[in-house]
Amino acid sequence: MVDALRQTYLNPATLDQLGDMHVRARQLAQGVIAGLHRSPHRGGSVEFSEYTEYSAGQELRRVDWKVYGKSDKYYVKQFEDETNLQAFLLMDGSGSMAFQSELGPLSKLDHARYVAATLAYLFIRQGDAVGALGFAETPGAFLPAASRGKHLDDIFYLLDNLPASGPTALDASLRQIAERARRRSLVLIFSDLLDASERTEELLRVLASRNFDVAVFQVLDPAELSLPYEGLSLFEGLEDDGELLADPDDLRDRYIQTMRAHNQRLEELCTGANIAYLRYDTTRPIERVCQDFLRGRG
Amino acid sequence: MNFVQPLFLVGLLAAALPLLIHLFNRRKAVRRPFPALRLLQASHQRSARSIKVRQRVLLALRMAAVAALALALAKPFFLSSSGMTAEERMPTAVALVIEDGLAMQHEGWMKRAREQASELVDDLRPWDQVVLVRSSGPDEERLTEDHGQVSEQLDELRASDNPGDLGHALSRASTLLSGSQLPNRRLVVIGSLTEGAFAQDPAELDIVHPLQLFSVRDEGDEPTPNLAITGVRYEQEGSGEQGAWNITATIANFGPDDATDVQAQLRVGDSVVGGQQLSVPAGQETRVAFMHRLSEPALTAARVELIDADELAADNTWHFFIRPREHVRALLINGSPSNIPYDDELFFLTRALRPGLTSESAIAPTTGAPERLERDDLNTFDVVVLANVARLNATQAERLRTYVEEGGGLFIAMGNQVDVEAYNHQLGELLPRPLRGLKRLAERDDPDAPIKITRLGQTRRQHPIFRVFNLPGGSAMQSVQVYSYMLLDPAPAGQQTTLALAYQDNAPALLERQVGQGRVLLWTTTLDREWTDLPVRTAYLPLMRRSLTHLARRASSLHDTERWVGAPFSVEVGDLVRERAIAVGPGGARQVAEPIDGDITLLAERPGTYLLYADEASEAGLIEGLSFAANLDRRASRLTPVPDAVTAAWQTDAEGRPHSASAPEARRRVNLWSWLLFFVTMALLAESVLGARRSVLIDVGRRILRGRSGHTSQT
Repeated sequence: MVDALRQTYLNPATLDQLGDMHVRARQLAQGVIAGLHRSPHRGGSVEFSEYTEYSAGQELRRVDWKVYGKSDKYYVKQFEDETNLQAFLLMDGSGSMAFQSELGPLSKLDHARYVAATLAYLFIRQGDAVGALGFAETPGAFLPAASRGKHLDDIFYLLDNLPASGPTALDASLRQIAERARRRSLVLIFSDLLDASERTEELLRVLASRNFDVAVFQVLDPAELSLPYEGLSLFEGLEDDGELLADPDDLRDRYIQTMRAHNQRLEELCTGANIAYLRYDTTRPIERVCQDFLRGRG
Repeated sequence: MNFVQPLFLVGLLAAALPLLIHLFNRRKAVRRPFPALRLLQASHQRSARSIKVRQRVLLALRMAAVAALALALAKPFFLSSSGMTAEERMPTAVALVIEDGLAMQHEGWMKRAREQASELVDDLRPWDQVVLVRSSGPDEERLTEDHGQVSEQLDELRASDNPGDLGHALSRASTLLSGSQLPNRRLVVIGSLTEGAFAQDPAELDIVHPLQLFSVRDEGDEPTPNLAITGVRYEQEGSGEQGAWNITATIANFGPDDATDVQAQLRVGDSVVGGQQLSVPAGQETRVAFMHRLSEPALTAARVELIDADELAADNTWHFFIRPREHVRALLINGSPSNIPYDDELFFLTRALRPGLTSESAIAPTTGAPERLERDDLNTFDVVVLANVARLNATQAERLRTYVEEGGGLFIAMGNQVDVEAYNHQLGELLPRPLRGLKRLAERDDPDAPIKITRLGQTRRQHPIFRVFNLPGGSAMQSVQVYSYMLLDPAPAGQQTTLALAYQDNAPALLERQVGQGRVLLWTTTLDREWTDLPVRTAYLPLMRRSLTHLARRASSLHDTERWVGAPFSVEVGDLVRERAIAVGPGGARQVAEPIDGDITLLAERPGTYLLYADEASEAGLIEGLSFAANLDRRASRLTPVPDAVTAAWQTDAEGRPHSASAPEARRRVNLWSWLLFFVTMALLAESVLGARRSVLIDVGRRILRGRSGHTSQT
């Protein structure tokens, strides 16, 4: 069964891509670290959870076969002293994240992937456990947190295979992470949050109130901030949200105001709920984003 | 509007191009995937309205510009006679016909007419000829190039008191224009153009020159509201000096709406003696009656007025004279004359009617034989008395009947001469009741007479003759002895007869019958002492006098002639005036006329009452009977506009072509395409500004502001 899973996720072509990401993450991480003092983080005490349901990607050796024998279900025994810190990467893989305008060097999803990969590399390198949950239309693949070096490959694989299509299931994913992650875990949310609703805001507040250490990485394309287009345009949504025929020139000022107000509201929410909030566009260098995050935590 | 190149009007279809382009552009829009569509939609919803307005304005501007360009290419123009340059227009003779008749006294109309005429005169070129022709004359106009003189005439122009004749004025003006040598000729008519302004039917006018009409009325096709007093009639009620006067005024409503709460008043001399409120339905007449008792029976000036009835006040007053008849002229026909005075049939009557001095009597009797009924003009008498006349011939009876029907009074007294058959036959239409025959009660010298005779009964106090019968002898009526009287047959069915006095045996003594305008009294006994001793009683004199004054023809306005201001009229003065007649009118204005063959010709210039004097303007010379009142001609009161069809016919010749078509071209072409091109340019400029991208406009605005602030800081 383990073999089957490995074959599914670790095919050669994928490994090539992962390798690239691996290298890139390492380079980026070095770039990040170069500007920092040595990290003082050693990880805090985390609560022990006896068993968790097995999910794809976990090491099979951790499956408690006794429990399996009794219940015919796969349970993984978690160890209290497994790591100091548990971080989860919550990756938005919806259609809107695939957007890349002429002004952006990367798509939002690629940019988020690199930042997430870099941070994951840094966390694992310092011995912290990292898990991940990708989501698009529905919550997708979930990687439990682990600190092994090879686990990084799984994370990269997950990142690399985000669907980049369909509507976002941010709310459902937040609920899932709240259920599956241990209390006090560090939850890093990578999304453009364009569809953040009141429900989303409520869930973020719930997460923060349950002692999760939440950080929101709102990644946007420069075109989304300035609406630089000219001429009559038929705007199409990327998440099945219809079309709009308009002259962007007529809308620009008001759109920019609306976008600012939306972002402002998110920022105020995060600040109020003690959630770290980083908004940047895809022209911002990835290592600078990481540094901003790490400095903020310092 | 006309076009030089009408083919280019097809280009108007191109006005649809911007619309098509607009629709096409919508389909040509660039597809752009955009993640933040939700926020974009929210922004769009908030600005959609202003965007839509701007787009529609832009679209309208583009379409208007294309349409205006197509129109400009078709080279539109119109013809105008104003604003011509000297080279463009030929000299014109203009006849300004101004209605200045009575109707133009309507408040504000004359002022408007003057202003309109002044504008036209101001627009004339120095070489144009002009003449001012007034509808109320005089016929002395001539064309002139002295426009200042015409302006002065206009300044002095006032509405006259006579209705004027616009038709005559138009004919005069047309004649003047025909005599002009100038190539262009034009008639201009300014006024109310109402039917009353024309003496003849305006449809019969033949006008041969181009005509411009300017109406000063506001009401369009509807008649202008106007009330007018169209006549006053008066009649003396009863008779004699104490008589009251019934005065009836006719008020006509010429307007389209009912008039209510109109205040009418009667003014006698300087005093208002009566007033009434009345309503006059639209297009109809109403009569209003006043009763007035003169303080003394003298010729009295009076007038009926409507107070604040409408804006044409001139026809709201009617002047007239109340002309009392001081003397009753009586023709007494004697049926039994005698050389012995007291045996004469009329001995007692003539003395009763003319007691004392002749001049002091209010009754002037003339006696004569029945032949006078044929010979004399009975209309010169107010009463005819038949005293014991045996019979009349057919001619006499017919004349008498006519006389009574026209208002004369007839007193028939019986006697032994009376032929009952002849009376019933000849005078049947006049007699209150047919005669039957004599009833002889007693002879005058019969010693038993006191028990045979009858006496006069009680008087009926409600009858006018006895109404105020507290006169000397009145109480002695019942002691009057009657020896004989005429028996009467019953009156034919349907004949109204009034019994004024009866004998004590209930036989009728005095009967009255109304015939036509006149009255007949039948006295069934004698006027002398033959059948009664009444003539020697004190009641005889008042009874006879009252009977005759009651019968006398009423003083009334029936034979008055209406005189109009501004219209000359002749008065038959006969031999009353030897050298000159003097008419003294309102405000003491005098007019002197010499009689020619017993006639004088007068002209009243103002409405009011005019006293006519013979030879000298003193009381002794006053001829009351010929004094007259003059009023404004009510023809002008009908303020109904001349129908459009009539005025339209004036402007075309017999073949239906407009006169202006046959006149030399007096108009110039005013091109419109330069204005249209200017509009196109402006529309394109506005389109450029409105159509520019907001970002560009904002950028330009910022640059300008920055430039200014930079300039300011440098300075």
